[in-house]
Amino acid sequence: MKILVIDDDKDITEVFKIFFEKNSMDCHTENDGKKGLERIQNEDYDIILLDLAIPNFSGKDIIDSLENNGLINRKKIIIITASAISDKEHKYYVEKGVKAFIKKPFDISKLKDIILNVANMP
Amino acid sequence: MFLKYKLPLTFSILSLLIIVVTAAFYMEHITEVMIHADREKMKEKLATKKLEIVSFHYDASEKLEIVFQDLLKTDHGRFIVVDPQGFVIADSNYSFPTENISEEISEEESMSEEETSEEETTVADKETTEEEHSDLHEIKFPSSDRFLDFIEEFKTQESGTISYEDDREIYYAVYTKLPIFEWILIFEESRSLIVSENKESVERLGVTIATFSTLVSIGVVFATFYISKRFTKPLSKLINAANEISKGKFNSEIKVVGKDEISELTSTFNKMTESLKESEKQKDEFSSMVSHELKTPLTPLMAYSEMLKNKILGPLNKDQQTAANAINSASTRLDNLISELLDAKKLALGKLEIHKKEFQPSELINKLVLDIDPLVKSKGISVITSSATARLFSDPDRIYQVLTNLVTNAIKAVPEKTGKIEIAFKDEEKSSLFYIKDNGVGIPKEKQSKLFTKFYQVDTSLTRKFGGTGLGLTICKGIVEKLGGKIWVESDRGIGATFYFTIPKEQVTIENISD
Repeated sequence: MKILVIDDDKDITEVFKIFFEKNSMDCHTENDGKKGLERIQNEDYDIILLDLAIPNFSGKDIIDSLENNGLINRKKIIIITASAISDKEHKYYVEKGVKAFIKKPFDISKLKDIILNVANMP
Repeated sequence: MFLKYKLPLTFSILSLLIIVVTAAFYMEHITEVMIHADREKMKEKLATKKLEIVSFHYDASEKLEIVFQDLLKTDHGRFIVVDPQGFVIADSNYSFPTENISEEISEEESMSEEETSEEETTVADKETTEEEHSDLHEIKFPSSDRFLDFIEEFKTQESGTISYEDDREIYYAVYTKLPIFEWILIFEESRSLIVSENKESVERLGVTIATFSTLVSIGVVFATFYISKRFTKPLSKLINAANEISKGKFNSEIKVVGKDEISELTSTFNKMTESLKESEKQKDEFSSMVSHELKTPLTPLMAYSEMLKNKILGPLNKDQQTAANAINSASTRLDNLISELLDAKKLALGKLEIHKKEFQPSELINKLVLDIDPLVKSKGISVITSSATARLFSDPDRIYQVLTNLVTNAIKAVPEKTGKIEIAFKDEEKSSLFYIKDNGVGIPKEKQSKLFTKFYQVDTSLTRKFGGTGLGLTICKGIVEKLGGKIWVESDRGIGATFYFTIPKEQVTIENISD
């Protein structure tokens, strides 16, 4: 399982990395939005954990770019965010192909199940 | 509506009244003015007649009074001659019975034939005694007694105007002294005569006044309604815009027309709308930003503390384990506290997020039971549930939040081992009913009114033991009421407590699927 975590907060990317490593999953991290987009486009990941509130180039920007490039359907994206998402936004992301939403702070014990569920999705 | 109808109507009616009263006043006044103008004509006529009399070549053989009677003849109005005592000497309205005249005349003629041959004298020159015309005092003139009131005036004034009345009429008269025995010549016109003479011009003037006042009245009525509309139209717009704002819509900007106080109010209103919009925006930003800022550091905190505690990061010695446990439970409590504070704040700002969908409350209750199982087991208490299978359209997460809160309170309240908690969902006709019943310490009646207020805690010792901000029930109330329901408690000291809340049944429509 190859996972990419994109979040500007280093503490968060670090904790994800450690967690996934302890669960025998290969986790890569990226703190910059644009670089994150590049990595998604150029490399293959099973799951992408994407923060929305990244300065300069947000999670939404990344998703919109992927849609423009026609790549969005081939990527499994889980949005992680501290903010509440309105129903409108929820609908928007679901339509773009986002598979799941995780709220910060998240429950570590449930994270693994969510990842596996999404991985098993078609 | 006062401004739109009552005010212009009242004003119009008042104006009409004033116009009518003024017109009537002028109509009445006109008659007087006309009568006054007529007097000038009367004076002229009097003067003419006086001249006529004074320059009349009097034949000495004729009786003076009879001469006068002839002289006074007029086809309009009435001439009267009175003596200084007020007795009528001659009256143009009187005609002598013809026999008497001829008798008296022939008597006079025979008497004075010798004395006066062909002397022509004017009336003014004629001297005669009082006796000579005393016979005529026997004649009762139609206007006798009338002038008795004016004797004093006649004595002192050369000429003037007088007025008198009888049962039927008012009379206006002008008088002047004659150079004959101090007699007074009077020209009289009755009021009705004057009025009928000038009838045409009065009527014309009357029509003019009536037309004018009608036109002015119509103009006034239109003007008042127009003016009123000038106010009520922008005011209605302001009222509508204010209503929109009270519903939370801030996009109503009203076009400013004109330069008066109303337009000033309108532009000030627009400014106010702008600043309300701004403050709403800030509230929105607060809700989302503060939320975000607080939850961000909590994320690694809780993740690491849990990983530490569960030995995912490696084995721990005893102290390290204690530390890890403490850190984890503290960070969990912190997370709960922050969530509670944020929810309470959002509720206060009216910004609590609600997401409605169809769900089965029985599933929520099942989940709840699973979630509280560790706590329940550790306290050795029993939990029973009863749930209808009906589906509900509302916000399941928020309802879950309320249930969790109430159940947590119940768990705190019940005694160990003998504690009993009941969680139920009933499907009733108009709404769904949830309740959580416990056999705990109960809540005394006097504390129940404040139960759902902020920071209120029934027993602060429990709080110190179990934690909590005292916001829980406030948040529950806020959520339930935002979902359209009611929350209340039935309890008393020592007999446990049952917390009820209802959630109204809604049909799923396009409108209430939150966007």
